[in-house]
Amino acid sequence: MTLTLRRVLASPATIGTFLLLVVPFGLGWLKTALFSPLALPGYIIYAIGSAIGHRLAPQFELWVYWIPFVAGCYGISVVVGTAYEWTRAVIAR
Amino acid sequence: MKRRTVLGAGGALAAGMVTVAAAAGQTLRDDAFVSAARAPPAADGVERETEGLLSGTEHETPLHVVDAPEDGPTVMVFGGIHGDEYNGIDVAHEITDWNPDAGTLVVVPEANRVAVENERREGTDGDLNRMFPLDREPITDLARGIWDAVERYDPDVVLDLHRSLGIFGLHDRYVGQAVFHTPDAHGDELATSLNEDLVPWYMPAHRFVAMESTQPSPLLFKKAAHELGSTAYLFETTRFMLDRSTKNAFTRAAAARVLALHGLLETEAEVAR
Repeated sequence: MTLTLRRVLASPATIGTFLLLVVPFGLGWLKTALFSPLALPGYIIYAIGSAIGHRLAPQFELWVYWIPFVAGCYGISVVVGTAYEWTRAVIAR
Repeated sequence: MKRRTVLGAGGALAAGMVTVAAAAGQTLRDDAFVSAARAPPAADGVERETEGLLSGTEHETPLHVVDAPEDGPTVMVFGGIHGDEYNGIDVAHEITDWNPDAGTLVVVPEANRVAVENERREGTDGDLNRMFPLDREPITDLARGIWDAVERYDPDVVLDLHRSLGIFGLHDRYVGQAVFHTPDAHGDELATSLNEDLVPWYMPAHRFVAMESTQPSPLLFKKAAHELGSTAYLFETTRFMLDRSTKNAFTRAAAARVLALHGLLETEAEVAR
């Protein structure tokens, strides 16, 4: 099995990690009572990201950090997906 | 990966979240202190009166007095000092229907009525909570009208209900999820109790902090503490990640705990110490 860019960007591990980071947190954002322990990773990423963003650019409202949050979560997911696919490729050899 | 698989995984994840969170949300609905405040009054009941503050002016706003059957301290609660902080306004309105066991509750739900009507932080003369300089006359007619009422009722405790945009300590300039209080207040107990009973462990940034407030500044709760010797609290929740019902739940729970801590509510529940 070869480790292609297309495979890494859309691997099950990439998509799964992205959904896990964004969906539980997104539900909690829509309605606070829907926050759950599974939202914790996304919650921490968003809280820290908004703190850094607010320090750098205090003129922006805190909801604007959804854009870097989604991009950052996809970046993290691609790293996880790459690691997963690489491990699978090594095992398959 | 097939689209159906992705959609299926996302759907299952969302359904799981809703189920888990439904149990967590239960805490917000069953706060023992709020239940005690809402419980029907004793046989001899409570007496309620409403008067108009700043009558005949554009700032005219109701002031509610709730007298419990037993003697006790006077607690004055303010909402709507800032007109777009709906948690304070909503909860202060609710409090006028509470049934304390002792003492007197004086509630002004819409302190800055013009700001409340316009859904803006500030009313006609700027930020109302900067109009109460210490040892001097309040700066505007509205501030003077409110201060006259505070002096008249001479409260033992003042609770001012607010909402910030961000979180204290996490976002510079913002003061959400904090209880600012005078040195003689039960700020630490209040924050600890809210954290234990209401803030889920998986929302660590939203844990309340108590801050003793000693710097002189022209805020209503500081003037009441400085000139009348009131024990004073300024409660702040946050708009960050919290919907209106949760902000209200935190604010309602904080108000009920302040009443319990100062002897207006009898309940078997104990505020954490």
